[in-house]
Amino acid sequence: MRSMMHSEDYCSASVFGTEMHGIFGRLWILAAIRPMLKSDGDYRTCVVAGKPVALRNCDGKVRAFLNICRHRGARLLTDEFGSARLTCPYHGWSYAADLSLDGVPRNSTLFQFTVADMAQRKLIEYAVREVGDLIFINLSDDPAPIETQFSAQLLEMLAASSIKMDSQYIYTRYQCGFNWKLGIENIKDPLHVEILHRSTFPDNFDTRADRTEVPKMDHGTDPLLHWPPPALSGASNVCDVPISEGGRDWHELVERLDGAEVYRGIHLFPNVNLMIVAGAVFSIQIYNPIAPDRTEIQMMAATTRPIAAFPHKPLVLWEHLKSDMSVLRQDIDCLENLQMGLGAAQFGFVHGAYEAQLIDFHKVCKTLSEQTGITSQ
Amino acid sequence: MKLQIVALDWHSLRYAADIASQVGFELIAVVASGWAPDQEKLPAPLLAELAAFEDRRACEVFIAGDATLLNQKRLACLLRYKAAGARLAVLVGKDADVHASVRLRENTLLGYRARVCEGADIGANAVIGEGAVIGYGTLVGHSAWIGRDCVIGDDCHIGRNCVLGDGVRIAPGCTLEPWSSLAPGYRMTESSGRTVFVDPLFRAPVEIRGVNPRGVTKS
Repeated sequence: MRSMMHSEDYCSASVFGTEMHGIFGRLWILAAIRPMLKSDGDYRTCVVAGKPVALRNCDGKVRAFLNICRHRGARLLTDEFGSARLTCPYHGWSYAADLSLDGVPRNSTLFQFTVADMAQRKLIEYAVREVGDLIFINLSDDPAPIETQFSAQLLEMLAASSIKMDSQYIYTRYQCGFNWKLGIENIKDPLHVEILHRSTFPDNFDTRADRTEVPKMDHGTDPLLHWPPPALSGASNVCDVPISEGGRDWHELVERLDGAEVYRGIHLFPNVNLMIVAGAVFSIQIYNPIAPDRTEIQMMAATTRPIAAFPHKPLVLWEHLKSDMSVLRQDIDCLENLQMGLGAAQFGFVHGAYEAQLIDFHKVCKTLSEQTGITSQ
Repeated sequence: MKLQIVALDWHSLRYAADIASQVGFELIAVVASGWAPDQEKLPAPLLAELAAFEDRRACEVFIAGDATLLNQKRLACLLRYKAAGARLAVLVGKDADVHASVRLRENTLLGYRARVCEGADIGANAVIGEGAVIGYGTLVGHSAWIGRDCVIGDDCHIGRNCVLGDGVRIAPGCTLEPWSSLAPGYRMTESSGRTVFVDPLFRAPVEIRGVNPRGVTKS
C-alpha cells in the first residue's frame, strides 16, 4: 500500500511549523516525571513546540510556564534541572509561587509599577495534568481534556503503573539527525526489530511481526480511503511482547507490576515511547522535535519501587540504559541515513499489512495538521 | 602460601594466576563462578585439583573478576566467601610500587608496575590496573576498578564501585562519585558532584537523578 507521507513531510520547514502548531502546540505533551519535581523549588526546563518551557514545584503544586521573564525576555531558569527561586538572572525580577510578579529591584524609582501593574505581568502559564507520576502539559489557550487524547483505559493503566516508579532515575539526551515522525514510526514497526536488532534485542523477547493477526490489505488502494482515520485516542497504542525466560536476580528487590512476563511498549501520541519491562523497569523515550531533520531523544529509566535494600540500583539503571542505547543506536544510524536519502528518493514509502498502527499515526498527524488551516503540500 | 582463585571470567583468572605465581603463592584450585571454563586452557597444575579442592581453611582466597556490572558481581562473590570464613588475599604484581604508608586491604589487586603514592588509601576489593598511578593522598573506594595506565592525580577521591577504563586521567583534587563509570581514555578535569556515566554510546552526559544532590542511593 502506498504511503500518504511524502519526503516533504519529513524535510519541509512549513510542514514542521504546521506540526508544531497543530500537534505539539495543541495536545498534551509528556514533559516531566514526578521525581524530577519532588521538592518545593525543583524545576525542569525543556523546549515544547519550539517554546522554552519550565515546570516547577511551586509550594507542592506543579506549574508549567513560558520560561521567559516579562521584563526583557531573558531565560528565567537556565539549567535543565535544578532547584531555585523564580528570579531572573538578568535584572532580578522575581515571581511568586503563583507565578505573579512580586519583586522588581528599585521599582519605586526605575519602574514605578503600581500593584495593578505588577498583577498584569504574571508569567505565561500552561495547563498541567498529572497522570500518576507522569506530568503532561498543554500549551493551548483552550486545552481539550486529556481524555480526548488518551483512552480512559490507557490513562488508568498509566496512572496505576507510574505511581509505582522509583524516585531514582537515570537520564540522558541524544541529538539525532532525523525527523521526529521517523522515530515514532520506527517504534510502531515490529518488523525492523527482528531484522535490524538481531544482535542487540534480548533473545528471550518474542519480537516476530506476525506474532499477532495481520489485517488484509489491498495494495491498489489509497490508505485514507481504505481505513478511516482513527479517533485521536486511537493514535496511542499498547503492545505486549512476551518474554520467555525468568527475571533478573534483582527483580525480587522491587515491587512488581502486572505484566511480569511481557515487554510492554506504549506509544503515547504524539512523541513518547514508554516501555515497562517485566513489570520492574520503566524506560521512557521522548522524541522532541527540534527542526525538520533534527530530534532530541530524552531518555530515562527507573525501576519500580524497592521493597528491600538495593544498593546496586545505579548499576542496574546504567546497564538498562546502555542496553536501550545499544538498540537505539542501530535505529538512529539507520534513520539518520534514511533522512539523508529522503530528498533523493522520488518514490514514496510502501506499507505492509503489519503497519496498520503506523498508517493510523500518519492519518492522525495529517488530520491534526489540516485542522490548523495550513496545508502541508 | 596456598591460594584458591574464584574467577568470574577467563581474563581475570589468567591475570590473577600470573601475579599469584610470581609472588610465591601456590595455586591449588580455581573455581569458576557463573561461567564454564575451557578446562584445557586452565593452568596445568590446577586442572587435576579443580574438583578435588575442599578445605578452604588451608589457603587464602582471591576473587578475580572484570569490571563489568560495576564490580557488583565480584563484591557479591567476595561477601559470600567472607561470610563462609574465607581468608582473602592481596595480590601485588611485579614491579608495582606501593609506598610503605599504604595499607592494602583484602582482595585488592595491584597490576604490574602500578604505583601508589604516599598517603593514598585503597579500599578493599579494589583493582589497580597495570601501570596505573594513584597520586599522593588520593582515596580509592572499595570495589573500585582502575584500568590499565590510568593516572589519578593527587588528593582525588574515587568513590566505591567506580569503574575507570584504561588510560583514564583524573586531574588533582577531583572527586568521582560512587558508582560512576568512565570510558577508556576519558579526561576528567573537574568534579561533577554527581554519579556520572561516560560511554561512547552516548552523546550527552548520563546522570543518576532524583534521590539527593550527590546522586547517591540512600539504602
